[in-house]
Amino acid sequence: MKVYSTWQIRFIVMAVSLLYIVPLFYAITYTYSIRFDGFGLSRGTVSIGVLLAVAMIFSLILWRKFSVWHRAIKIEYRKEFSYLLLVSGFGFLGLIVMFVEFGGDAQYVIHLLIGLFIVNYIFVTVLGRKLFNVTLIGKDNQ
Amino acid sequence: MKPPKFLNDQNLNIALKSLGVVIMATILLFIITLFDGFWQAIGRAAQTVIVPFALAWLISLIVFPIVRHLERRGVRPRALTVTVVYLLMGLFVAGLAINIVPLFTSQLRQFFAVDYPTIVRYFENDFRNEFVLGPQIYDFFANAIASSNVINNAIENFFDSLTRIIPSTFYGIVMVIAILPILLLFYLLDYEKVNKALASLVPERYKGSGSELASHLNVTVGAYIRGQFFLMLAIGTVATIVYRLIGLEYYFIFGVLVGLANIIPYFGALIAMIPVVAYAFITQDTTTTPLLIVAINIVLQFIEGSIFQPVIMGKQLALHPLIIILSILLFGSLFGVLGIIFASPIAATLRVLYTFYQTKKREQAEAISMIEPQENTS
Repeated sequence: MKVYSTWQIRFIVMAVSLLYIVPLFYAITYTYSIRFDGFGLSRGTVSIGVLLAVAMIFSLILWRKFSVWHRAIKIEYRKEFSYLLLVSGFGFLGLIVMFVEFGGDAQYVIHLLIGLFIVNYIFVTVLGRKLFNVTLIGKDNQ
Repeated sequence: MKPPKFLNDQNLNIALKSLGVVIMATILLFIITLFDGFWQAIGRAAQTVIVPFALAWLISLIVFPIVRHLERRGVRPRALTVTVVYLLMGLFVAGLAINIVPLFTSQLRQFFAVDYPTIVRYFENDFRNEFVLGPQIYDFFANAIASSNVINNAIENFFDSLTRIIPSTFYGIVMVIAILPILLLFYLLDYEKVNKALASLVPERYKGSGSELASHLNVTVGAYIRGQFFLMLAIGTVATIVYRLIGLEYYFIFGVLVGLANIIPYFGALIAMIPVVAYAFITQDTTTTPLLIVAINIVLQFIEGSIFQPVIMGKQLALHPLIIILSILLFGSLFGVLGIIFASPIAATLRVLYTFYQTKKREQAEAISMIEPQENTS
């Protein structure tokens, strides 16, 4: 099995985070009914701003830590995987929130929930096994 | 006649000693029961002292790693670090107060204005008509209960105990809320000094093992508490989002309930499901069927137990479900609601103690087995 460096793993985590950051933002603001109308901003605009800010911060950290993290290797990346699990979990819920927010029919929410959960579960399982050396189901998942 | 082999002097000696210990313990218990009021007063006083200190210790397990992390990043001296942490906690509490508390209270108000009368009406009318054993049997039970004084007595006793409990409980809560931030502040400021002072109480010959056990307890129980807190937050938020997506009216109240119930690992989401299902069943919400809620909570429990728990907690921290049930039953019966809430941290602590004892015993046995052959050869 190929072993990835800490920098590579964290780069993957950053990529997945950026993929999910807008839905994640939608999920959190939707749940706690956080609105930005008072500032004259829409949820979409703020989410794009958050995406750019997170991308900048992550890139800066990865760029600064390259020399250290590129040489560091771990047997398994459990901590990074926990983070990925959390981001992808809320991100997939955020995708359904976006579906509802953009006028999708609410009767399809359950179908989407089941479908996306399975897709997300497979995605995270494969990523965990192939890159992070952490398996979700099985005897060696602990 | 020769006596049986097990009745040798050594075994008899052990049996007599054990008997002596049992008799002494029984006498001691008997004496304790004679001064029931005195011990209750002592117990109450101890509880008043122990609860805020225990809470401060538990919160410090979550907060102190942040203090240490900030110090490693150069935020010094300790007073500045603790101020930064307190500011962060203040922001967190303010965020809760601004965004979450109004949402929670508005849903609670709406529930009592709109749905509570429906639930009361259901129990007064529909429940009788839909009673499993038929309306006649329901009437029989209702009349039997009405003619006896069971309900009246129960209500009187309940209000009697409530008037006794509320002032002391309220006093306790106010005391804890007032004292806890100050206790935590001083504990965080002098974390190392306090721990060193506590370590100095341990006798000299146990000092090495004592400090090893203390650091082990701090690391393991700290990781467990942080993991559990994190799981509660994650599962509570996921439940809130899903409940809102499926159109449940009081999604926030029920989501918070799922998060709070998750303090009981493995069974939290299933326990929190009961009021949600009851609500959906009684109010007959057209968008959310009870069956759907059951399915969602089972999936949530699966996610918590099979994905989040193993990944976040790991093998060292995971407690077997049987141990969880046993500790909830035991500590719940001993300390009530507080016992149920703290059952899993106490079980985790006991497991650390047991593992430590086993390791020490093994090390001792290995040391003896290494010395013995050397003595034989010499």
